[in-house]
Amino acid sequence: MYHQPYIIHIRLIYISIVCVLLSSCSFLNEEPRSGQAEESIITSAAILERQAVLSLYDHIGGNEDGVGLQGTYRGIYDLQTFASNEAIIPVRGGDWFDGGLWVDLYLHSWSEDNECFENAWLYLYQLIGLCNHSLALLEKHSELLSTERLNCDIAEVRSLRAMAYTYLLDLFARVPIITSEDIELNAIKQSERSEVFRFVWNELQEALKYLPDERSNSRGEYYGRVTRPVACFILMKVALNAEIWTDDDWTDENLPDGKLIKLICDGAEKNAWDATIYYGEQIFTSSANYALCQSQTNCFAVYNETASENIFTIPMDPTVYRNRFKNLFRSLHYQHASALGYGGENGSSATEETLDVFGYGTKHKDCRFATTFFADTVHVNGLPLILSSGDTLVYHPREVLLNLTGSPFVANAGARMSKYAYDAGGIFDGQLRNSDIVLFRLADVYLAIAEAKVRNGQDGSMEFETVRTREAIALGAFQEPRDATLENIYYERWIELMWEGWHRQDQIRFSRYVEFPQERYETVFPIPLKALQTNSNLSQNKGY
Amino acid sequence: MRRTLPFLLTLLCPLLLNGQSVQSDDLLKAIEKAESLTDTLRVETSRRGYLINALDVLNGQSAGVTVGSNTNPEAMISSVRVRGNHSLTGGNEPLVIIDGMSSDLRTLSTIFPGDIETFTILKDAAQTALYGARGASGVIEVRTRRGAEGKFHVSYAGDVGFAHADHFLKMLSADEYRALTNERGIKIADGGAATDWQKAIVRTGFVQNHHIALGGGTENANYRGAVSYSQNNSIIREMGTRNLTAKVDITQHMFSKRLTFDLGLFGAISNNQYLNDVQKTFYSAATFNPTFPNSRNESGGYDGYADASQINNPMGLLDIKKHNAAMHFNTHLRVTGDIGYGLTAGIYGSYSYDADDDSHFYPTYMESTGKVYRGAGKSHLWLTNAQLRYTHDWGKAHHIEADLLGELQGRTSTGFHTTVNRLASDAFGYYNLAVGGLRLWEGTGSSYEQQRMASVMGRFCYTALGRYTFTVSARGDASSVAAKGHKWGFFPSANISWNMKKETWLQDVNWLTRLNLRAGWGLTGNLGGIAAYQSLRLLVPSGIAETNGLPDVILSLAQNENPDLTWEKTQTANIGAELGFWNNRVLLTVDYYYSYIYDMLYNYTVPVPPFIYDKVLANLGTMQNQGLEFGFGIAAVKTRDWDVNIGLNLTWQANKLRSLNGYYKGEYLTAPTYTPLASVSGAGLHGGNTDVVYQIPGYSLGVFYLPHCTGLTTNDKGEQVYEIEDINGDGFIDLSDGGDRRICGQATPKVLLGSNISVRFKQFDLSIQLNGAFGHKIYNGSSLSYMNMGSLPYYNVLKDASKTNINDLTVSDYWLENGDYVNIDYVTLGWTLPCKPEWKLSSFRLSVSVNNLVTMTSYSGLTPIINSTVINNSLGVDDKRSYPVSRTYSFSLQIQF
Repeated sequence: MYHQPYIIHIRLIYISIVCVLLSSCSFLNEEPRSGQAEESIITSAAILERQAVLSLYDHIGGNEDGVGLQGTYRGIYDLQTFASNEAIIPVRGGDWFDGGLWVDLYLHSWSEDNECFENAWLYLYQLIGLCNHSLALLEKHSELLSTERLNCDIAEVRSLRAMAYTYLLDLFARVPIITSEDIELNAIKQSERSEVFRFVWNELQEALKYLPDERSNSRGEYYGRVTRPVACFILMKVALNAEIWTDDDWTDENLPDGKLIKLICDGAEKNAWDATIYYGEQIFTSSANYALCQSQTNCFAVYNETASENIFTIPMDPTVYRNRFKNLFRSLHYQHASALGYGGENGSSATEETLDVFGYGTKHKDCRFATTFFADTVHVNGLPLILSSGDTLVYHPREVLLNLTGSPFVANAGARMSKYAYDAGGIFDGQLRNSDIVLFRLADVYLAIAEAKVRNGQDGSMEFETVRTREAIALGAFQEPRDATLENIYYERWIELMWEGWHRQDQIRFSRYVEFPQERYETVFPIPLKALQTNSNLSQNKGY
Repeated sequence: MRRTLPFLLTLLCPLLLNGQSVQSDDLLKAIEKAESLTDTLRVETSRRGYLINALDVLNGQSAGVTVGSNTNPEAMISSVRVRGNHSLTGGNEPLVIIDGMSSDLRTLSTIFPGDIETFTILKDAAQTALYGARGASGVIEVRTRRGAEGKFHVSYAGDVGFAHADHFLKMLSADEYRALTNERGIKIADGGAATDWQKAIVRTGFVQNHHIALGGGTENANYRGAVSYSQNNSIIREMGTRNLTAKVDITQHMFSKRLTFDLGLFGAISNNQYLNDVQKTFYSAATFNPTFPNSRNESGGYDGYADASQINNPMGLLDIKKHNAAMHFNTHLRVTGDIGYGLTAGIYGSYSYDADDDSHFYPTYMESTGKVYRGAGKSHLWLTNAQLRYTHDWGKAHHIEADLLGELQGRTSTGFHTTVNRLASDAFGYYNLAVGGLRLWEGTGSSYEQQRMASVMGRFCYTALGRYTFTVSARGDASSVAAKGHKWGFFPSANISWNMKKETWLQDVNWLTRLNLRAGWGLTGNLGGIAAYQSLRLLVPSGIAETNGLPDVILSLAQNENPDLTWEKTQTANIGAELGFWNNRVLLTVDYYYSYIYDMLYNYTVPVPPFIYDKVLANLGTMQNQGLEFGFGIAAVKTRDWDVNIGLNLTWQANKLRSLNGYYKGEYLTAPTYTPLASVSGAGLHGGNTDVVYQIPGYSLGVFYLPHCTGLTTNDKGEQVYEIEDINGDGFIDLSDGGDRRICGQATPKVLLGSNISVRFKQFDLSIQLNGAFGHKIYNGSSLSYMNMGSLPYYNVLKDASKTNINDLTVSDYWLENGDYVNIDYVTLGWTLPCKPEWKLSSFRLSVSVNNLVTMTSYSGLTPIINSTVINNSLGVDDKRSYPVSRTYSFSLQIQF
């Protein structure tokens, strides 16, 4: 009797604690609002396609370092450009040393933990991972789509994934092939380069029959997307590089012979060069009507969505997309850029070799030099640009050095990037622009066919000359005739495709990338250090 | 008396907590004399120099408690640490409990220091057991002043002070810059003027605080109300804070004091003006072309110098506005009832509301086409708990206390922001977003987040013979943030203490007046600093794709989700002793702790593939912390006219990151060996091998891992460059991680010192606070940049640069310096009027103070007081972001009627 109130109190507390425990089951559940579960989003065919297919195209360009195929810093484009002898970012006194990053790329003295390798690896495998997720999503919600639509969507995603693998094939060679989103770490194994090559080829072969024969570079339903001509372009590139990319030991002197490499093209077996020609011609005969522009500059105009020559681009529009284009920003002298209303970082310049190839300083200077570079006295709005020091801004192309510190030309050595038209509508220092970033274009197809023909023992002069004389004809200028030899094709590619991120691949294919046989291992970059450290199944490429 | 304290803790076993050990009047006084001795700080703000805010009080006052540099109030708030860093992920900030209500450092920073009566620092697991996971990184309990029975007071406290910057980097003056560039044949852009930009951006700082408090009480009720206003115009132009607070607390007893109500209200409004980019501001002030005029150009802006692309006109940078208006409101109610039969019960509820309004304005001449950002955030936090306590004595020999506690907590945060670009005019500032012609998709967004916690706890405490105390506690904590099925954690603790002085065989040892021993062990969970929804696979808007000319927003996976996310756990063991000698004229405390952190939450680097993103928040690694803390207090002289007290605390702490490897979803993940934490940046220092401080398993968190420079050497151009040693002897220099680098010191101090010396002579008193840190290093990234002659003419250099003539930006240990320092934090001289009881005036005091009097160090940079604590990208690196060193002189007045 005496103790009763005490017991009641204890019971009350006990009961209330139990209540709290029971109710806490839902009390502790998370109900996010500003993010949503995938299942709750996909309610219609349109949303499924947007999520599974369109969403992937947000990853072709980028707005942060290392992400995207082109336009940002320290990723794939920088490896293709600054590890080649096309362009250089010299140390300029207090600027651009960056812990030796650019010097290392230029001298091929990189270490395994170079951030560009890391970025390229992460970016490409992220894109592959997202593609795999998209494929799983399409499969899971396949009832929302007709079989025809489903096949087209799957084909598009697989092509995009194959494209990512071609970059891996080019940069890192021995990479794991991942085709499913549910894969265990232990199951990840590197494939030999030739296996990756075959995988890419077969994937694209299977996808090709479902892809629409539409333009990708024009505004409309397929803007920025992988269509049949885009996939044909990738197949053409894969075939063109077949000798390099099927070589499982690139450190020895043996190279497979392109004439003996057998590739199945739409059911017919062809050698690598015939395959290159075949897929190049598929683009010529496409119902999307590709044609060389009258002038190369049309490809790089402010509103270049209408350029008949462009095949695959990164769509740009400063008010819509987040994709950055920093290549111009990086190259122009500070005051040159600010006179244009941009920002500039006074960095990248043409190398001596590039100047020679363009015939700079000779009477045979290629007429494309003027639109590819800013050199000599800089004019803005028709007037020479006066610097705050009182001098006129003059770029001295021949003064370029790996380290310009102490040079009187520290700030103005080097010919700078032009190529893209001046876009007054650019914002954020000119990084958000209207001109789409050109990834694939028809001039490259002409030159690839010319090269394949020559390598196959045929005559490629028609395709070679078409590209070579185009600008001269447009300008009414004279272009000295040249034979369509492999060497001339190499130089023509250099001139025509300067600043477009192809030169490293070309240098390797034309055996110009390394000086000594023992440096052959440098034609493939090392597997990034972090990838090795976090996955003990991976092994380093030969030579590193 | 104890029961009236509106404080859950005080209902519990007093001997458990050494912070609670205010037992006899004797000791209380002794502790007051030797403030720094125990972990209860009685705040005598009158005896101190000017206080930036309440956090400033903690600086150097208690062993194991560190507060970052007070030059940047924004950074200071997140820099408070109790026993160092406990987690890699965050949640390293101690829990703040203000009068029993859950709070945070930011709120504490808005409380007027004069309103605070005591700080109690809880460090051991057994001490923090009451707060469970929330107290995983230590607890700072704050007790504010209350009304008292029978007294009605009105008091005013105020101070006014001036701050003066007196120490700058010795950069070339305009004339020296002209002379040197001319001598070297370097063309410059001569603006025709001479400006010392470091001095241009500073002003005489002005600080003032005013505080009025009323209080009183009768037998059954008491109240206290206070309002305060404080203003701090920093020495940096355009930077400062204003803060208005109001606080009311009422305590009322009912039914013969068997029921007690405590009601509190607290509100604060603050307006803050921050620097937009601290590093860019000070980097620019040091290196911007000194020949440019310090005046606006014709169009009202400031001329930039495009060639120096990494910096800008320092005065122009100050035109960028980064303003914040914050509002905080809190109310709480506690009801405590004495049920009888040894039982007391209490229920408690508190609600806090925070609102932030951020306005940023970038004029067209500072950011291409101009930009305005507006953002608002709101946060609601509620907490409720119920507790029941039973105490019983069997004769004099046995005393038990048992407690049960249940607690629920929820926090909901929402926010939105928008950004506009291409401003029509700079004249509108941030007041009309419509002046921006361009609204980028990425510039607008909103957010929602909810987190909830539930806890139950039981505790049992038994004291035998008044001297042996055994305490065990067990609690279950659950958090919504953890993954489904992993939400609950079980966290027990145990503690024993022995009051040896009460043993008969020590009763007669007169010189020993106090001897307490204690030992404890506890397990704590931590999920602090973790955002909600990390265990869920979520889609968030990520970009735009176009279909048929129209933009479509696409949604992407936000992160690698972790469906196994659970509590990070810390096991702590500690032993300690408190000794008092000669009537407690000399007091000594010693504590040793060892803690082992496992299932450590961290954004682990995971392999891609198979993962899509390279980071996942998971529970893998392990870390350990240990430390030895000494507190020493001596009342050296104690006469009618003279008092001399010396307090000193010394902390040795060691941290070791043991492993970042572990099993995740059944797969063994291995971490990269070297993870950079902090690097140097600036012109010519972007990426590449510019990392300085690393996190490397097997070493302390934050170690310097650098190439070794054997000295300067002359290159073929006749310039001095750093000669780098080929450490691995492979014949060439590889500056990358794993190449020619070595571990050469740690960024966090090994030993921390805090000391207070106070002297009273009659009505005059003098108080000096010394703080020091030892055993760590600082990377002088500022000198790396400012000594590089290659930076001329775009970036100004130090006067000494032309003498050494270095032309190299290679990051090596050349600029790694000893970071030891002793800082005289403040010196205060006061005079107290001896008030007679018949006067209306009950106290009157005047004092003058100098803050940041002097720093003794061998460090060659501006100041060694940089971030040596917080694990972020500035840890241990003095990289062009130190504020000019300033001193504050203040005068204060306190009156009470």
